[in-house]
Amino acid sequence: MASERRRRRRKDKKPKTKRRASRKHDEQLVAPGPPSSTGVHDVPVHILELILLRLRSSACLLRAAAACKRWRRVISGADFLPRCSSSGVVAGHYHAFDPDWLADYGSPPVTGNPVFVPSNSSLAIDRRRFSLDDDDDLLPASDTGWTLTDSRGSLLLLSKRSTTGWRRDTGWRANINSHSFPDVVVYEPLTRRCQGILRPEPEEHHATCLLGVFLLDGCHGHIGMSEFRLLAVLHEDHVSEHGRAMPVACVFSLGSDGGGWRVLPNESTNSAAVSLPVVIERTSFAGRANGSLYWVVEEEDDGAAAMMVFDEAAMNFSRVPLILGENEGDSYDDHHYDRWSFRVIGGVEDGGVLRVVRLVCNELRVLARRRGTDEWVAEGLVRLREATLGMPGRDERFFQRDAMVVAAHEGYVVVTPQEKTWLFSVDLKTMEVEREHERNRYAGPAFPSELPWPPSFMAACGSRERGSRRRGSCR
Amino acid sequence: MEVDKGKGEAEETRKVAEADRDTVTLKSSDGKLFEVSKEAAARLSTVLAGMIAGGSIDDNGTDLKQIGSEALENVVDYCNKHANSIPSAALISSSISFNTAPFKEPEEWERKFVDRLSHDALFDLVEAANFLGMERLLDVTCHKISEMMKGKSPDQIREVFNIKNDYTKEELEEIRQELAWAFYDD
Repeated sequence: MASERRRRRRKDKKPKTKRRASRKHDEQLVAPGPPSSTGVHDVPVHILELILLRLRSSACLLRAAAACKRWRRVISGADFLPRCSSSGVVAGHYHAFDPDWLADYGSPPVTGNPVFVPSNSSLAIDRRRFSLDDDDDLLPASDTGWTLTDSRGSLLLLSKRSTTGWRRDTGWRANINSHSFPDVVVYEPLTRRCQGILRPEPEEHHATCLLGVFLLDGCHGHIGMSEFRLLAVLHEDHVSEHGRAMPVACVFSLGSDGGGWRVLPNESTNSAAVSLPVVIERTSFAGRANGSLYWVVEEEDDGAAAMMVFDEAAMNFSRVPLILGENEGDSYDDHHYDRWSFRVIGGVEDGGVLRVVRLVCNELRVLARRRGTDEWVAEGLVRLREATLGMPGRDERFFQRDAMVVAAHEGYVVVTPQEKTWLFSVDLKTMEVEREHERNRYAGPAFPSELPWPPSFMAACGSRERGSRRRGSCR
Repeated sequence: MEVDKGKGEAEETRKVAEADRDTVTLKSSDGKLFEVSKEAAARLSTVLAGMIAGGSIDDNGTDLKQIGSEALENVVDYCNKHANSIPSAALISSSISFNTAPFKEPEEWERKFVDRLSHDALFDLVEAANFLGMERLLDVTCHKISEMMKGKSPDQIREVFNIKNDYTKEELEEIRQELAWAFYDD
């Protein structure tokens, strides 16, 4: 039936030679094809682009690119992807279980691999492909748990606390296994590719602990298995201030020339200007927001707090005093700033507003930073004890002690009472509490995951510009 | 904006040249004649609007040598249907910029309009819309074609669009390995 139509069509398509008179300057037909072929070959490139741009899932685009070389050339063209709405779409979230949760508040114990929850149903990919169940034994020594610590693009950063310890420390440091440098792998679930990363060589004369490892884009702003960087933020003895510590940034990059870990010079990262308490527990990771990493720093003596900020673009540290206006005249003298009570979240939707979520005396408070200042404005408040009354499973023993923030995301915060792991979330727009949502089933953060965009496949027949850029070396 | 301008110019032309006619006659490559509302033609096609404004419309049938009679019939059909439907804000805004605007979903009648077309008629219509500068129609037809790709494997896409597989065996194997996750079957 189709071939009949095709034959007919060839006949009335005779006056075709002048067809390129269209407004756009078009590439001539590329696919040679037998004379009986029809339709899509004759479509000018800019129309083919219009068609392909409408494919919302990158999986659909890749399938189209695999159909023929002309399509692949269009899709891999330098100006196609930036216009394409399907690149950079969050496919779903990996809900991880917080390992510290188990150690500190293990009731009831929740373990297992992170669970993938797709964002929408139009992914056109089998959900099982996202699974982190390691059937192929890709992850080294997968018998003991890997923890999902970060995600970026299509990549996941998994870490595992080493049993031998990074340094053979003595004294109190020996106990802080959780701050030693973990085994780290970068993993792309959909392609099942995995890369183990060697630990940085510790400098012998420094007492060094780890404040966090994070994934960064590669040198050229792309991210993928062949192009990524890692950032490790360390806590070291201060170079000039006795009895204090300071942050140090190390960056891991790929590449045969000059790849591996590199300590960023203190002068460029502004490390020495950021003074931290020696006790590492007083510096807690608070979140990643709007292109920066945030830690909350609790000073020992006067209960004052500050934020340590690492700007991922400028690659430097800064220390910002934290004055939330909640200490004046109230009774919060003994409250702490740690990850269970203090988180920083960004606001992509409302133009990069920085917010702080505080949990003090079972009150969840949201504050927004006034643009261009260090001033915080209260946005919302929920009294958890009252707001959860009457919810199924709510026990009257709850909220004797302070509740804890389990995870904080742009639109919601997951909270639990300390007495029992009883997760519920607070919607930050409405400040309503809610327990039924799937996101309340996991005691840990949710990491967004995008579909991979295979650069080698696209570069193979794509524009030359793209291929050569990737070969450049890191700064 | 473009649309309004076309309309304004069209009205002015009407006063000057052919005040008594509110349709234009178009002639396909194979010599068939079609009548279409001048207002709709000027509003939906930048090329026709320009011709009407420039007075290069032939009363005996304006030659459109690049468009076959089947495609031109569909174009005219679309214009007439469009003239009868209420133009929504979505239509106007989607026709402003060509490549960059977020795509607007086709309206129900537009969906039906392209759904009934054969494969070949659809591709001919895309090209006619492109030639005549009918951006909304181009949008609607491109949407339909992309729908035909969704959820299909490369093999199925080749089959639907009658594309010759120009990858070598080795290249296909490479693609298969690298993109296994993106395909339904492997």
